[in-house]
Amino acid sequence: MAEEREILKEELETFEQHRDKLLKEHQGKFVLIKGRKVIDTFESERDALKEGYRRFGGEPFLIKQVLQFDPPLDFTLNILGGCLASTD
Amino acid sequence: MPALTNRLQNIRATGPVLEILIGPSSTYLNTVQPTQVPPPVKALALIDTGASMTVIRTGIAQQLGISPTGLTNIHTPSHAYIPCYQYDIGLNIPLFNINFELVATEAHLQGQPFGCLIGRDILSRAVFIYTGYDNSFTLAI
Repeated sequence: MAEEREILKEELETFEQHRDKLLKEHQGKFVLIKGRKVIDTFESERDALKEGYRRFGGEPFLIKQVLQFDPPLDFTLNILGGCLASTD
Repeated sequence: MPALTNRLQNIRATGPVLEILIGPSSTYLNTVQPTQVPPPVKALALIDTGASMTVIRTGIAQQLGISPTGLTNIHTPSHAYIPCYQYDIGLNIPLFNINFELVATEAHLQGQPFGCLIGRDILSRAVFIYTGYDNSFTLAI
């Protein structure tokens, strides 16, 4: 399970390293990242997904909207405990 | 906008639930063209106006053989910043014969019979009416 939790960790670090530059040039767009490489930015999430599948097939890759702060994902039901945290 | 009313035995006990099918997105299927496509996973879904995004139960994406395309943090009344993977899926509501392509968040739906929470990302395209005294709900999409 430890290995599973590493999936997309590198991509998320890459996003954080490039966030300021991406914000200046591509705010609101969707960025496609694989490993340490920022591949491209896209107007829509679906376009970014399509390019990710075209380049990387079924491998994991990261699509993230370029925003200063990630919008909160809130759930009023308290049945979501766990996710990755439960494997600790 | 077609509308459908679903009458349940006890909507207060179950909440507004309906059966759905979850599969890989058509974007994935058309672009990757996998040699083997597992059958869609049937799941009971709760329409949840308190969920900002649609959630699928942990394990469904693995059954479908798809990889995550996002990693995000979610907040619940008792936990904050819970990291969860996101998956690009196709969600079919057989009652409507309608398909949605969306990125859903994966989470444990602990102690619940649901395989999915239909969140406000889908509801943003719909009209949802909860008629408690009639044990029914109406969804127009």
